Amino acid sequence: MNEDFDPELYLRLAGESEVLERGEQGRAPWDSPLHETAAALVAIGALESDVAQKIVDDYELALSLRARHGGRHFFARQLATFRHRSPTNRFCDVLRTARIVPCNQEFEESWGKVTVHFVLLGDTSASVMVSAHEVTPGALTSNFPQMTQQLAISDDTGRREIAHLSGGGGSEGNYQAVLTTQGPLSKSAQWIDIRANRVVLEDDPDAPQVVVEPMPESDPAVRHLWSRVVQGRHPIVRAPETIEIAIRTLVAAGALSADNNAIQAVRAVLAANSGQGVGFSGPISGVGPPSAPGASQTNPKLPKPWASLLAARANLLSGSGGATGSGPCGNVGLGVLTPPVDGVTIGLGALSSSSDSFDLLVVVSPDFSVHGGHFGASAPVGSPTIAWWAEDDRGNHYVGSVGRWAGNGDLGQGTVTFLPALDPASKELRILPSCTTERAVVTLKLPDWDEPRTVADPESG
Amino acid sequence: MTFDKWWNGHAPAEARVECSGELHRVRWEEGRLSVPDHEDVEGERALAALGGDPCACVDVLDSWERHRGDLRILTISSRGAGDVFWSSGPGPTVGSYPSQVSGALFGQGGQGPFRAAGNFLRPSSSSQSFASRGHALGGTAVSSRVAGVARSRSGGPVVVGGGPVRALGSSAGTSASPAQLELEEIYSVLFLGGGLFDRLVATVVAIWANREDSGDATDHRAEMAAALSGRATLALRGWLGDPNQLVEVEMTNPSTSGELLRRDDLIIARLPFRWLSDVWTRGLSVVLGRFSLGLLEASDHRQRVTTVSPDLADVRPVTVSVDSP
Repeated sequence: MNEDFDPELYLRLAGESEVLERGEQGRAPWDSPLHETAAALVAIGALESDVAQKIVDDYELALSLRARHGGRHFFARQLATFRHRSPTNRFCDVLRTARIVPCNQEFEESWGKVTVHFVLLGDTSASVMVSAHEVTPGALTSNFPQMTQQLAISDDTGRREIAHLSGGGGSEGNYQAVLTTQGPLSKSAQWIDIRANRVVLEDDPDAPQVVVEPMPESDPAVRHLWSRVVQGRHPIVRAPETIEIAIRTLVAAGALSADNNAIQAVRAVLAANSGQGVGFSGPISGVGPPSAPGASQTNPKLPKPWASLLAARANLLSGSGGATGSGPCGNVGLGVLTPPVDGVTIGLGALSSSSDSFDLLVVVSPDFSVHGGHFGASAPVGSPTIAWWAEDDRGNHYVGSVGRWAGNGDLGQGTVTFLPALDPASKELRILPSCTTERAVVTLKLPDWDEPRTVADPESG
Repeated sequence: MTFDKWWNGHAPAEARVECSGELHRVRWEEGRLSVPDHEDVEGERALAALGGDPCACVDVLDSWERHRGDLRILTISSRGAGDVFWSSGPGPTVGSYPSQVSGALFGQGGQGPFRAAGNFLRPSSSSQSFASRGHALGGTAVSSRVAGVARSRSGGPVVVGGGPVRALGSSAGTSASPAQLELEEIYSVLFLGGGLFDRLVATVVAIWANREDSGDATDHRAEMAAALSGRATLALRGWLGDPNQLVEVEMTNPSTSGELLRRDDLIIARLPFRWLSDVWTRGLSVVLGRFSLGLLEASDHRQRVTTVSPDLADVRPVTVSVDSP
């Protein structure tokens, strides 16, 4: 650390700059320069998280008072600011004692088909993740009023709870949503009824193994830098200007030298991601999945595994992937709850593979561990965020980003989309949700995709 | 240089608060806030403590006391000319804004954040609105218009100048955290109107300048340096007419004189925190087209400052005085 560096003053001056530049205008709320600066200072131990949080809160309040367009972010900011200050409103881990059951059961409706992916039975409520596929365009939406009526879910002990629908979203006739009951259902239930449809809850004796292990040793500044690159939000790689704030802060603090290889590597990834040809060929450490070896073998300009990841993303965005992708198609039920990973419990409900990517249906608690959850960047400074990595038995690496998401601070659930597509020849997938000091390792035996283990290819139905 | 009467050069300021069904005065003068329409403030406090209706004027007084040494006020408040809070336009006035915020914070109503003021804020009338006295703080501008008043003493949440004061529990929900109440309290003084918030800022600055002089501010130097930096930067940019001027502000020891240096495209300002109290809050940052570096003399009607020319070459005193009638 630079002896002359005053981290509190540095953060406050970043706040002053935001106020003078009226930084509120035109930027996404999750790309707060102030939050980015604070996160970097906390990551290297220059500032305690509560001190940084208080400074960020005060400047966010100052910014919100200056917001020009009717306080566009005002209310979210205020709620966020004071939620995590209020002792009665702290986020809590509601998954730790929950039961998660993969289902992948389908039901026919007049307008199409509903798939129940997994059921989460918690202490205070139950959640059911469903997706809907309409047979003809508009068939589902014309039934929407009926769909959004209060829906009763009952269990085999006679409990009956009203559920509400949230997080609905999707396109092209496929929608995803979560049903959440107002009260709990029996955690030992063998089945639940949703309307007239019975969902059998069978725990999988062959559920994937899960362990939590410490992250490999690495420099805190380098680790932080890469954690900001892969933030878990779409797009996979964050905006370069946001990462540059972290770089400037780490360099100013003396935690990184300006010519550190990690900075070059990060910039190379950012440039490649934006279509620019800035290269990097030096040896690096702390890049991507922590078990990955140093430099790329496939593209000397980018650190491994970024060359293949970014190429896959570019193919997808250009449309050259799409239906011509080589990924296997099908669903696999998971039903995994991890032990806390840096204080975050992660549930994996199902894996859905398609030709050009694969999705995980996940729940996390607390919610801010994904991209700030409901409150975006106003999630507590220094709170763990999850980088979604995976690797298979054929040496392929995958990186995930959050797609559809619904959350309330305590519990978040949605889809994490991984790129590139699964290698059809791989037999084992290690899913690696990685936080600051720990990561979960969920080892999943992949099925013979010609004979899907749980449910047939949804595209064929 | 320390001045015993830091308030010299600050004109009295006054706002009106609806209290007990009447409009009462809240007045700042010579560094102190008073509520001249209440003869027995302690008696009002005792009455409220025993379960009587809260007194809006006394609530304002108490809020002021709690925040007169609060450096957060400097983080929130205006940095100077051009740095205005959310103001005019099709939405609510500045004054009514915090009431809506309060409603949203406490889950009131169901019409979203931009609902009409509704029952939380009475429509302002001409007699209940007043213009901010404006630019006593070096051109700072909290608002151009403040909608005054709201509730009666017995009618639930007490609202002053459009902002709810502490006693918001009765209809604003019961789950307010201390932090939420603190926010409401800050709003209550922030939107008092009549230039009173400017005087609160001047009070905070003066208190911390004195603490700095006596060596009691070492744990808060970062907050103070940031407060100085933002305000000096904006003043310098305004002075030079360049909103993008690169400025670096260094907070010097209290005993040192201010100075400006130029290094390539960068202006380096070396100023003590006291510059805020002596110069900036008095609206003396720029006089006769020159930037003020420090205060030499201050009385009610006469201020003398050290100034520097835009080319930074010519340093000389300037005297500003108010002629006798």
